[in-house]
Amino acid sequence: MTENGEDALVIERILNGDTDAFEILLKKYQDTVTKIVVAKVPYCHMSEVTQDVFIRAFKSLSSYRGGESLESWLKTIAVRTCCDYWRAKYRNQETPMSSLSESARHWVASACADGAKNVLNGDSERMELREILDWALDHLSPTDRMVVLLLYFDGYSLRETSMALGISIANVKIRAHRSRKKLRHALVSLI
Amino acid sequence: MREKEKLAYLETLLFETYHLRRASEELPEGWREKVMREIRNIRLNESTNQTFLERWFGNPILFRFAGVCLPCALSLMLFFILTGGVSLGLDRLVIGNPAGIATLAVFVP
Repeated sequence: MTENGEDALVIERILNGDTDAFEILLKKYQDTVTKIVVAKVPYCHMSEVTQDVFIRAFKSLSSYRGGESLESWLKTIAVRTCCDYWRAKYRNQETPMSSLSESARHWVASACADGAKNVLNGDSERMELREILDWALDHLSPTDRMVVLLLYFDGYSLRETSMALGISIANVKIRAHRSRKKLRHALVSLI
Repeated sequence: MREKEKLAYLETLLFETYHLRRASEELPEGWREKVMREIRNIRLNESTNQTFLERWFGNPILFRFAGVCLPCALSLMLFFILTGGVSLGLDRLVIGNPAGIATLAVFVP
């Protein structure tokens, strides 16, 4: 039986009231969803957002039509849940655009001065880089942030990005262009 | 390094950092059990098979709200029809006062 066929059977069982069968899907797609979520939200919220993805998927299981694979359907839900996470964050003003710490600024200056340095060896250097990455991404709106991450960091195509975020390809292109400019501007201010 | 090179270098580092983060983190132990507990608490049929109206009016608060509001809305409408129609002149009615037009519709026949 094909993978889609297997999933369809499990979904049918769930829709017929066998809630426990959802654990089969959970086990099967847990890693796929986690890989998407882990890099897009802060680590402390990773498990919470991943849980939200599966709960959303469970609630809308009856609307899954089977045209696309369950995996890509779940990936779409994961991307949109991450986007919603940032929307809620921005709305609650929990993360106003953070200012970069002095140590991170200093680190950038020294790393750029010594380009040959293998900076990803030490844990503290990784922390600095994470801080810089988060700081740079904080300059973008939630949707722009997701466009940049999907398109440039995850290597999604324009079409895949537009499908995942539910926006047109033209919109993805415009957002990508503007976001790149904003990010470049932010990073240039550091060096 | 020139500014362009520095920027490219920094971008590469950030790219690598993103992918390191992606590869290194795992869900905490007992996470799956927690999700399944949450899932069992959701009544699937109620949340998925209802129509939009059923979902809205199935909500006791909204139902009560709608139940209280409907007579209120009808009374208000009647009030405006009567007072609007009586107090405004015929010329105003013809111009398009909705309350007046409604009054005409009620009283003229």
